[in-house]
Amino acid sequence: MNVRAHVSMTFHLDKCIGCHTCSVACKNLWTDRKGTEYMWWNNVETRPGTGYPTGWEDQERFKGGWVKRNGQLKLRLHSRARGLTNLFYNPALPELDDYYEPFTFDYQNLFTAPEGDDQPVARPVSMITGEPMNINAGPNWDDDLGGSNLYAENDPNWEGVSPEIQAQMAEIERVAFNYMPRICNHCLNPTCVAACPSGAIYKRGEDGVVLVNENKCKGWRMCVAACPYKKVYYNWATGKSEKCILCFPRLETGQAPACFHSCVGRIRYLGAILYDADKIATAANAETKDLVQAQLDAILDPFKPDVIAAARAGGLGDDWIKAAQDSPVYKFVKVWKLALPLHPEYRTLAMLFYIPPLSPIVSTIEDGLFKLELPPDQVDFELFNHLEKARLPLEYLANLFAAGSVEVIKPILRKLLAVRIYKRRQSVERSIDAATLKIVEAAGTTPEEIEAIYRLTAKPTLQERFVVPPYHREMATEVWNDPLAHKGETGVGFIELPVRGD
Amino acid sequence: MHGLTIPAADFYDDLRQRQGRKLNGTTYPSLENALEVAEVILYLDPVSNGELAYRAFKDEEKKTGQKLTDLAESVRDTRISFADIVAQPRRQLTSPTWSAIINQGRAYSPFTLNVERLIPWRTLSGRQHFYLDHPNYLNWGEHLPTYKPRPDHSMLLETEVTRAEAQGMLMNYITPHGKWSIHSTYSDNHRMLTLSRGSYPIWLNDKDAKKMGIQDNDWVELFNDNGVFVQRCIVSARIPSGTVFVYHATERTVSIPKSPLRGTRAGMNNSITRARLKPVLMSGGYAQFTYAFNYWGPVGVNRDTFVYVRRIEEPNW
Repeated sequence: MNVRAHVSMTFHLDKCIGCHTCSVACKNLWTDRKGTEYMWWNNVETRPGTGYPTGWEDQERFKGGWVKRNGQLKLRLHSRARGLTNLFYNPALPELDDYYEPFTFDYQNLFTAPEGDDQPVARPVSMITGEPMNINAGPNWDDDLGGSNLYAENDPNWEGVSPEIQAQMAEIERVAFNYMPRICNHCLNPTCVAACPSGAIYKRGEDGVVLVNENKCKGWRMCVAACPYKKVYYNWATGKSEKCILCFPRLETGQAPACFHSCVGRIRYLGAILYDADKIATAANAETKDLVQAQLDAILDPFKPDVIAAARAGGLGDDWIKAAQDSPVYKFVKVWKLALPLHPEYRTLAMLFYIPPLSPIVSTIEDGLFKLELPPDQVDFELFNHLEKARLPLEYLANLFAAGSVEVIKPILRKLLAVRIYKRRQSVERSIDAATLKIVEAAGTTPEEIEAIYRLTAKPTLQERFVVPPYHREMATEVWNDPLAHKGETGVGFIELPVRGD
Repeated sequence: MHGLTIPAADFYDDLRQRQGRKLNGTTYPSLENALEVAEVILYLDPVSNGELAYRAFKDEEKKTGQKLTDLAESVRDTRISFADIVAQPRRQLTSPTWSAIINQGRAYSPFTLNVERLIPWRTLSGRQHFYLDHPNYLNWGEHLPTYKPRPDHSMLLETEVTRAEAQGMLMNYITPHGKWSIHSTYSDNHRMLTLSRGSYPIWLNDKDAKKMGIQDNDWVELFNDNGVFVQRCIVSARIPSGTVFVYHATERTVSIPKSPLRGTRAGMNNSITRARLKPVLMSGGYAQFTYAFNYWGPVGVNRDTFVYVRRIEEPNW
């Protein structure tokens, strides 16, 4: 057992309201610079939809992630030899049109326009050419099912969903969508790291944050193509690649990342988990249907004495072990088994876990009136037994979070529904009847577990949502620098300016 | 407000000293410039002057017989000045001129004062009631919440002249609250425009759009007798057929081209609606129907009308 710690994440999709406060917080903090105009380290997608960059899940086109060939994992992008010969030609790279042409507005015209018959306006101008432009793409173009006939209908996750249901999903009586915020998944088996010809990308030992060393990056952009989530971006101004850094300067001072901290719906949870580094290879190599379970198997119980002993032997401090025990992510992912990685079939072992959303039940119109396809007084109970009546098809969610395996999604939705049924019964009827207890049992949970899930879902404190382990940067600094001298160095700008091609 | 009498003579005297201005031999608090006005408002408002919040609750205690001053006891010496709110946003104080308890960082939730501290609802019965026995309401048949079918375009008479020049489809136009803004605030900055579609798009049902030969992101013109609105459109299955909608309230500063039909700069979302006063809202002088500025009075009902919709080529700027 080779125990390591990972600062890991859970997003509760049922709570996301799609306000994009996370995106704005991130943009303002990190990517409001020349060369980063189109970068959205954090973005929020409407699902069904094609996301950002448009259609990023189409790996036939973008060649991200790993594939299993003859029992071995290979980069989908290229072999080692092909990587060398294709160093200067990489057709899998997304282009400007896959992202969008960054635009701004001629706000100055509002002040300087000559007197005329009409009120002056600021028209859109390209941030690339400075010329007036027609806006035809953006980082959130298909928001709230905008252009649903072009985007939502072409979501690749419809695979396996019957054409009749897909057609119904384009009717207003059945239409449904949810939001899916995305940041770098800080994978355990990251393809961006593996694809980098310069060895510039690394996964930090202490917390698993994946970072680009801006001094070593030569701008080959293999990471951009190899990342199946398209979460590495190329900065055209510095000639280096950049990505989400999980706000490590904030983590190191005990704060949650900006997107987490600003989340209005409080959907985000962050905490350390302990995992067995010896199991990474097995987990990434598992059969497709076993991928989720294999990843869960690599996550260790931080309360088990042998895990604690191995963690200590591996150099983990007791405060990190305690943080792992208090971690909300550990609870959602491993104890309650409610959260799943996005597209486990990419085999990168994403360490951001999503709790899939519930959706309303299907309704139809009869004689001009809405008619639910289930008796209204028993909707929750019936839905529990007929998950196929949920508006978002099971197969769709399975394609997103379970490599297509409906059997992985079902118990999660059933447990989430059991929590809802139990708590509703409790607050409306003030008592729990036998039928409800039967549901609880059938969902494989208990009233105690339901209360705990409810507590962490509905009313957690800031400290319960974000359990940031102590990073001890004071020690790291004191080892190398005289603290008093170092204090005088902070806040004076770049120590080293990034130089293009350096 | 709310029938409260809040003694503030001593604070008025303070203001006379602080920003006094002599007129006919008497010193008054000066309202000469905007800053002075702001200071006066902040100094005399219970939500920024803790002592006045305390006195307001004292008055409310007299009216209700409930213990209430504890809600302001701890902030009696708080005064929020204009410089304070320039430096950083401040939380306002709990006051009976509003209806929420917001002490200790609690978020504003209306009527928590009424529910938790038993201040009667500000109605004739002191309870939540739907029945209104005012003669105007009785005459209009609205003494209880009443379903009224939506008027059709021939009742509104806002498309009659336009019909002659119409080359489009007549549709119901609505302007619901937006996702990206609080009314006109926060939407037309670079960040939010990038996250939406860089304008104030017109949402159309996909099948309606197909009938009109309109594709997603095409330019569309909405017009009727009131005015004209020109924007790109979003085609989506989530919009009911027969409806076209634009999130209100758009500014007229960004991305508004000229109207091909009318030749001048197109308007904003309310250019094609008109304010209609609902007669019952003009009733007053009775129980809770007591006119106060920005508090009770007739609202403009201007969220819903009919427009002609047509696709256009890229318009001029």
